[in-house]
Amino acid sequence: MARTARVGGLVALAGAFGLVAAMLAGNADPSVGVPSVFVLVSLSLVVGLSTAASP
Amino acid sequence: MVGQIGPLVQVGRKNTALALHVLGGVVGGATTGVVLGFAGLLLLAALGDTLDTVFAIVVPVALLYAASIDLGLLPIRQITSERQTPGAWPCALGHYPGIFSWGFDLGIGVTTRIPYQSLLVLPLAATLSGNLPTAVAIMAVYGASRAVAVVAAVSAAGEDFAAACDAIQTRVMPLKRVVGATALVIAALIVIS
Repeated sequence: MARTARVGGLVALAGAFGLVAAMLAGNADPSVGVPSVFVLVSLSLVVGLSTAASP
Repeated sequence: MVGQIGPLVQVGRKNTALALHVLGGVVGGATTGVVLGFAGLLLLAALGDTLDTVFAIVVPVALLYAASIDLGLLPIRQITSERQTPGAWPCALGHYPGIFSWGFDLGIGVTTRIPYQSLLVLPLAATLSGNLPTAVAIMAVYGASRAVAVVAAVSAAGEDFAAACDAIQTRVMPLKRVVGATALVIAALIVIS
């Protein structure tokens, strides 16, 4: 239970980092549009979190 | 990586080692983002507003292509590197610098084995965004989340890192499909937006 909570907390931390990073990038007025920045950061998050096994 | 870093964090301060690994991932990803961001600015200077059109076409098409491979719909040889993070770094560089360097190396994204083809779209999108903060955000979040995944796996493993590696290996294919499906959704969202 404690391990699950810890892993969940770590994933939430990564999500919060992604959200802050996307908000900061969105404030820089990207020409591709703020929604595109958010969805690409989401993809980064999913790909990164799925890659624990890779050397 | 879990099998290598797991036993190492039993030596010294575990939380410090894992935090350094995550920091290395963030710095590695951000470094790639800075390089690609400047390349994107050069492209923006050369192409002007055309770069937005290139982004809107190339990124969704690349996501569609990568997702088709990750989902197993396109049975073609994957683009990847055979290089792995050098296991000798903690001995050569020192315990904590070695663990930081592993995070940095993995956070760069393209210098080690590429498990999902969708990963290759991240540096492409970062470059074509033509915006430095966007490129840094995309790649730094990748580096951070990849390092956090290692930390989570080490934390969940307890002392049995070999079993943790086996458990991760059994989830590689399902995770690949999750990444592929996510890439498809992202492609659709970019086209809609």
